[in-house]
Amino acid sequence: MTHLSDDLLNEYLDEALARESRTAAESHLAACPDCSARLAELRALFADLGSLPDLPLEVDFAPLILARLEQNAPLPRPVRWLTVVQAIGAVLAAVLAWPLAETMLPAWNLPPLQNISSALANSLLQTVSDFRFPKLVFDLPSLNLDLPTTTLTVTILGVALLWLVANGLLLIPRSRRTS
Amino acid sequence: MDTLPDHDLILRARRGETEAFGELVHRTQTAVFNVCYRLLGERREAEDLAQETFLRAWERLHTFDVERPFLPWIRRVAANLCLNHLPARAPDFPELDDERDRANPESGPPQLVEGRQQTEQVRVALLSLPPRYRLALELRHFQELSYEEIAQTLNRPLSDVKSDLFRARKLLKSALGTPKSPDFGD
Ligand SMILES: [Zn+2]
Repeated sequence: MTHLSDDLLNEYLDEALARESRTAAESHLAACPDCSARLAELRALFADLGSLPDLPLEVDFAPLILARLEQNAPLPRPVRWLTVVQAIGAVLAAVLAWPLAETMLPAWNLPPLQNISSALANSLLQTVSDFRFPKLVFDLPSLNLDLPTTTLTVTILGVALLWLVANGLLLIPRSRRTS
Repeated sequence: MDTLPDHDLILRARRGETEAFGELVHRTQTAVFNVCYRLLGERREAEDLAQETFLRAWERLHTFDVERPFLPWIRRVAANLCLNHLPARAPDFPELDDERDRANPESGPPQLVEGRQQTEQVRVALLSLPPRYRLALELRHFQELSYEEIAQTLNRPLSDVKSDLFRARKLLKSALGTPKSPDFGD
């Protein structure tokens, strides 16, 4: 009778044998004291490894890890998405606010939004059709500002700047803001 | 925070909540440290590598499948990281840093003494093996991975994994000094 190979005994204990090989091995083991003894030795080795206890830790890693993460944490993904959403929102807000700006700043002679959009469309069509630079359809706003308009502009710019700074702060994760 | 399941903590950590990740570190740090210690055999080095493991895990948290348990994943990350720090050969005289002083095998009730001596023998025997065999035993016996999972983790052919593991057991047996049985196989 052929004895079981070492590989087979290993696979048997690792429960890696297919059903038929397993049954065949088991019937041989039942009849062969030599192979049973070899299996028992291997089993004892498994038990030795299994009984090796975990060493206790002498340090708590959690605070060390957190300190290192907060030193050089990149902005996590959801926050970056927020930035994109916010940028789109800002563009939309600017478009919606255009008629208001028209009425509030008559001195600037701002052209109505339709003019700009049709001008942009015209320019695009011209560029596409004859590959030449299009003419400017509207004049640039005059820079001859009178005093009340300038005060208004400064106020609006100031508010806008504050808004940007405040939102920028909100985008920084809480953990980095507090540290 | 300390009552939340791992699953929730991982989702929070992915959103950038470092406190949630801290709790995950808390729960798994002893296991992760012991992976590194079994593979490296030196406490300070094992502590360094355990910390590296958690930093690496934080970076790769988005690749982790939240439906699976966290502990096996982080232990595999630790084993892979230690793999690059293992020397090419086993040391001639494996040393167990200062563990001998801490758990002095000659003190205490006789049964405990015997247990500690046995434990120390197994540790010394493990560390006397060449690193690739140590790694095979770590992944099969301590992390309980299947042959296929080990092959996948180490990116090696299944036949190599099996021959390493079986050879590792043979070497460990002789390192432990158990009487050699007649060899019918191979
Ligand atoms: Zn036999």
